[in-house]
Amino acid sequence: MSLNLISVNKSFGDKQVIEELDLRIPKGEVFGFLGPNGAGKTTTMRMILDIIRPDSGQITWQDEMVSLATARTFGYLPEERGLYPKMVVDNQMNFFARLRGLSKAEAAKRIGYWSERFQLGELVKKKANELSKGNQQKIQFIIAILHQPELLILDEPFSGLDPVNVELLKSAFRDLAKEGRTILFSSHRMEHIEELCDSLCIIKAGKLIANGSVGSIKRLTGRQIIRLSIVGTLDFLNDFPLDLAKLSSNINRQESGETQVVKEVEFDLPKGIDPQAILQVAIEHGQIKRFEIGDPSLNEVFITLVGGDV
Amino acid sequence: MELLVLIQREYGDRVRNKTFIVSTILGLIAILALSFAPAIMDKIKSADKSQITILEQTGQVTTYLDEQLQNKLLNGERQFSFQTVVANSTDWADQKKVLIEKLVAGETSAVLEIAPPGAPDSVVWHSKKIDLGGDATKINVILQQMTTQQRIKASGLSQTQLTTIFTPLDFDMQVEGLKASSKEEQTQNVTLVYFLLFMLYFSLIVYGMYVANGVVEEKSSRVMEMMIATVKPTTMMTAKILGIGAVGLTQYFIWIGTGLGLLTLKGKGISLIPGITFQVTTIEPLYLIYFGIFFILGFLLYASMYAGIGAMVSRPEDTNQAVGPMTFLIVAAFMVAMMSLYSPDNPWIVGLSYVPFFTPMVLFARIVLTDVSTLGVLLGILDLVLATLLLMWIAGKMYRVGVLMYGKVSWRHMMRLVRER
Repeated sequence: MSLNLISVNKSFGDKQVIEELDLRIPKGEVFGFLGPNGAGKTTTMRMILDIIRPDSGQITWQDEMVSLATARTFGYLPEERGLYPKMVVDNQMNFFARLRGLSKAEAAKRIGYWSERFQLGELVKKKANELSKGNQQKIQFIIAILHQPELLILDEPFSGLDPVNVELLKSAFRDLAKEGRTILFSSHRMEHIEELCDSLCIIKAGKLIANGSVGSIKRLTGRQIIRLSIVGTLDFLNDFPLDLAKLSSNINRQESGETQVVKEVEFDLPKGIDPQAILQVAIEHGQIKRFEIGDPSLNEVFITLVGGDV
Repeated sequence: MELLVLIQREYGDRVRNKTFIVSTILGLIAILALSFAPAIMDKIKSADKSQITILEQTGQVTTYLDEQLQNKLLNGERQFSFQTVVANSTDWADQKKVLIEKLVAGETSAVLEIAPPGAPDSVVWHSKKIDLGGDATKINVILQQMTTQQRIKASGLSQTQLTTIFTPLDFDMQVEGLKASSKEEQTQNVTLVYFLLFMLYFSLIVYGMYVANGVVEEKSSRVMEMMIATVKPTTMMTAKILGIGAVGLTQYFIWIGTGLGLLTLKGKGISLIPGITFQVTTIEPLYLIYFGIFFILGFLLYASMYAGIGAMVSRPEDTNQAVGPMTFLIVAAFMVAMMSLYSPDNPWIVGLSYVPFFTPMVLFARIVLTDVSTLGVLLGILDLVLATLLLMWIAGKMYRVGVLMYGKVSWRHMMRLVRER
C-alpha cells in the first residue's frame, strides 16, 4: 500500500533527466519532494501520472503499475496551472468532478463545501480568465481533491499565494493528511516542508541525494548550529578557533533597546569543541538572552547538499 | 459516461458562445432575405418596363410588334408597351422633334423611327442609353423577321409555302441510363448538388477551424495536462469532434428548419438562381441520405486532421497559419467537385472521387449527376471510412504527445515522440 519508484530512468533526447531513481512513499504520508530547478521533479510527477513513461524501471501504486486508470484516481495539481479560460468556475469544477465519475449533485455538494472553506464567494460565478492567478490556483487545488483521491500529487501548491491563502491551504493539507491520504508535493519554501512533511527527498540532476524523515535529513550534514544572543561583547569567540569576521555571513545584527545592545550570532559548532565551554565563557562576558544548540534549518541543509558552499 | 460529460462541455460551451449566436442569427437573416428575394426582385424588375413610342407611316408595324413581343416581367406584367404616332413625309420632322423632346424629358423609354421618308429600309432607335443586347436587340430581331416574311411574300410564295418553310424542327432530348430523365430534373440536380456542396465546403472550413481552435485553446491554457491525466486522448478528441459536429448540426437545424418552414408557408419554390425554381417535394430522398453520410464522414476526416494540426500549435495566433494547407485542400476538393458538375465522367474526376480527401464532395456530386454503380458508392464510403479511422488514430497520437511540446514543433520531433511517447 504505497507509491513505489524502482530504478526509474528517463531521457529526453541525449539528456538524461532521471537516473536510477528509487523512492518509496508509504500510504498516509505527507512527502516533500525537493530539488533545484530542472532537477526532474515535474518529470517524475508526470511519470507517476503516466503522462510520460519511464525509459526503464517501474512505478507502482498499491502494487499496480501506474496507468491512466490509476492516474484518474489521483489528484493532480500541475506545475503549469490551466483552466478553461472562458468557462464559469462553478461549471468548470463540476465538469472535472463529473469527469472523475462523481454525480452532478455530489459534485455540487463538495464544491459548495470547498468554495466556502477557501472563501471563494462570488468568484465561482465568474469565468476563469477573470480570476487572479492565486484564485485560479485555489480553484485547481479544489479540482484536484474533489474526488477524494488517495494519492495527491501537487507541483508547487504554495507558489504565488498570499499568506492568508497559504494558511487556508495548509489547513486543508493537514485535514487531508489526517484522513490518511498520501500527499506528494514539491516546494521551494523549506518552512512549508518542515511544517507539513513527515519525510522528504532531495533530487539533483535526476539523482536522489537525500531521502528520509525531516529530522534525519537535517542531521545529514553533521553540522550543529549555535544560536547566541548576548548583552555584552562577542570578542571572546575569537579565543575559540572561530573567526568573528567570517561569521558575518551569518545573522549578526545589533538590536537597539532602551538601555542595552543585544548582539545575536549564529554559527556552525566547530568540530571537537564542547558547546558547554562556549556557554561558560559567554556568561563571563555578558548577560545571556538566548543560547541554543540546534540542527541547521532545512534551508541550509538544502543549500549545503544541493551545492553552493555556505 | 466520460465521453458524455466531455461532449456536453464542448457543446454547451459553444452554443452559449457569442460568436455562435451571432453567426446563427446572421444566417437566419440571410435565409429570410433569400426567401423574400423573388418578391423584392419583382419590385425591382418593375422598373424595367419599357414604354416605346413608334413613329411610322402606317401604324401596322406597331400592331405587329405588339403581337409578337409578349415578353413578361417576373411579376407577370408585360415588358413592352407601344404607342404609335403616324406621320407622313410632310410632318415627319416636326413629329420627330416633339417625340425626341419627350424622350429627353423621360416620358418615354425609347423612340423608334421606322422607314422615315426617303429611306424605306431603315430603322432608327432613339434612346438615352447605349443598349447592349437589351430592348433594341429584341425589337431588331422581330423587325428582321417581319421584313424577311414580307420580302418572301413579295417574291410570290403562297402562305402555305411560307408556313412550310418556317416550320421548326422537332428536336427532342431523351437521356438514357441516368436518374434524371428530363432537362428540368437535371438542372434541379445540379442546383441541389451545388447548394449541398457549398454547405459541406462551408462546414468543413468553419467547424474544422472550431476543432483546431478548441485544441489550441486547451494547449495554450495548459488545461491539457490535467485532461490527459484523466481521460484518454482519443476520447478527448472524439468528444471534441462530436461536440462540435453537434454544434454544426444545431445551426443547420435552425437554418434549414426556418428555410423549409418558410417554403411551406409560401407554398412556392425557392429561387436560388433566377429562373430556376427549386421544389422541396421533388428532391430525391436517397440523395439526402448520401449527403448525410458524406457530410458526416467528411467532417470526421477533416476534423481529425484539424485536431492533429491543432495539437502541433502552441499559440492561438499560430493556428491560422498552421491550418493553411488544410484550407487549401478543402478549396481544391471544392474546385474538383465544381468541375465534376460539368463533366462527371471525366476519368480524372472519376479517379479523384476515390481519393479520400475528395470523396465527400466529388463522389457525392457524381452520384447525383451521373450513373455510379452501387459497388462504386460502397467502395467510396469504405475508403473514406478507412481513411477517417487511420487519420483519427494518427491525430489521437499527435494529440497525446502534443501536450508536452510547446514552442516550435518539427515533424521529426513529433514523429519520434509519437513512437516513444
